[in-house]
Amino acid sequence: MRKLAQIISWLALLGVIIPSILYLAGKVTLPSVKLWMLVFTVVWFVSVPIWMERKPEE
Amino acid sequence: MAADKTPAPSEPVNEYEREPVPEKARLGFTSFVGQYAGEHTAGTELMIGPLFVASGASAFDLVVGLLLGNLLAVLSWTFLTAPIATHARLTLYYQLEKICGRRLVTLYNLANGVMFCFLAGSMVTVSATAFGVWFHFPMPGLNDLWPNSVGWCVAALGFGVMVAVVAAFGYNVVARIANYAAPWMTIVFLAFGLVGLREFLTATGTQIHSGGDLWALCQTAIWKGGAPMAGQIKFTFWHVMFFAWFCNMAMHIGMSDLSVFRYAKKSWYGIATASGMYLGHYLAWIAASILYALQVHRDPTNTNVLPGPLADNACGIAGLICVIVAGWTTANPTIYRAGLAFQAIFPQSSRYKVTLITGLIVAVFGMFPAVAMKLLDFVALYGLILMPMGAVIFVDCWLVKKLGLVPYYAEASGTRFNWAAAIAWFATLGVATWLVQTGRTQIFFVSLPGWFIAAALYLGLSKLTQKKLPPSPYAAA
Repeated sequence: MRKLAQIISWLALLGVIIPSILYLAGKVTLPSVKLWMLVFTVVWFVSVPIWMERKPEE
Repeated sequence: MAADKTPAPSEPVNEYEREPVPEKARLGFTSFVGQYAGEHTAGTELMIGPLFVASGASAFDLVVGLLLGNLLAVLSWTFLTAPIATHARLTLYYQLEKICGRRLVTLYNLANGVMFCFLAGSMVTVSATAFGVWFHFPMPGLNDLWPNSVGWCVAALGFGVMVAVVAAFGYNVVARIANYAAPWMTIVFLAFGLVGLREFLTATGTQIHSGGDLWALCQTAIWKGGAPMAGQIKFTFWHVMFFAWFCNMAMHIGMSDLSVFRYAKKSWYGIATASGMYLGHYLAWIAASILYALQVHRDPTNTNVLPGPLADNACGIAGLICVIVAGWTTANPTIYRAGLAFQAIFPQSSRYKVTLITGLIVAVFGMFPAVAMKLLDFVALYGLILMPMGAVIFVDCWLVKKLGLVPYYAEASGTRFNWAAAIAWFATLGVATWLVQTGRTQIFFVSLPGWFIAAALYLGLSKLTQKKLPPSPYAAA
């Protein structure tokens, strides 16, 4: 569970930054950047408390 | 670092307040990398970046000035703060008490607490600008020092009171959110820059085929240099470099971060501060300045520095959340530290009560945009006021004994007010004020000669005032 949450969190961070990179490259529109940043922000804040600051289970 | 020192439910741990940090409690390098990266990507970065543009900084001044200034800051932590911290392994306050005596430290606490209140107030101001996007009330302009609408007052005060209550009763919840948010905030700041850059390309019709094209865009459209906006001081390369170096002067040269690095296993861990400097004080400042430059490029009459609308235009709701979280998570520990400083003055009061009252004062300060809009000046003043005591600590640690004087003189002599340290502090501030007021130098530069003045005064006055005492401390520390 912890490992899965970690993977989801790091993918969410990528999801936050990739839309702006694509926007810089002229591949997506600004409204879609804003939408995907919000979606992956929610994913980050939901997944990160599952593992961050929690010791791995023995 | 917070993860390693698991705190009690309602307040952060303040261990080893009156003893050296033992070996078992010492922390590794990565603890400091994470802590500094989080602490220095704050809401105020969204004010500072735009203020560079308002001050007429050019592309070279900004990019190279920040690069070098931040390097000097990292070197200051590494070669001034961390060696003393790992030598004595005491908190700033306890070390100062040993040198200056309890009464003078009380005065220092008062100065420190007041400065923390203003700083936290500016963080509340930053976050409150996000609410203006949703509720459409008039917000302060670049040169506004007073609140300019009822809606603004309600938003800033309401948010400030909430921050105050949480700082008093739920510190660790916000501290945990701050840790969760830190990596995400850095990414959102980066996104601000990328989106702003694309918008600039579109607005100017520029095609980028090489690094030279990008640099040309930076020079001709983003950071054009030239005259500052009305009410702002012109920033040159030297202003940018010294600002980046001294904006955390209270922490490095002023030695506040002795309390942090006393936990470091090695003194070279000071270079961990590079994470905060180059993510928060380089990437974030540059990204925020791009957004503001874009706003002014589109509408030269719109000079308002409002992080909320800037973030909303670039990244929508995620940007607004970033503004609120960035302000809140950094105001939280700042209020707590201010509360601790004041509690040292009124030790009989409960920590919660003092923190709550401190937070309410901060909430009132947050309504006034004066500090946020003059943040460049305020930050320089903040460093200047606390810097002389850093010089006193440096001299006491490395030079006093070599010159045949007594280190930790207040402890050794039993005095509660070390006049040599007090005069070194006040006289340095007096000379610095005179230099600035008479136009001989600007506040951004005066701390450099100020440090040498404070160090020389403390040495000279110690020579004059110290009585012969039996040898004492650092050897034992």
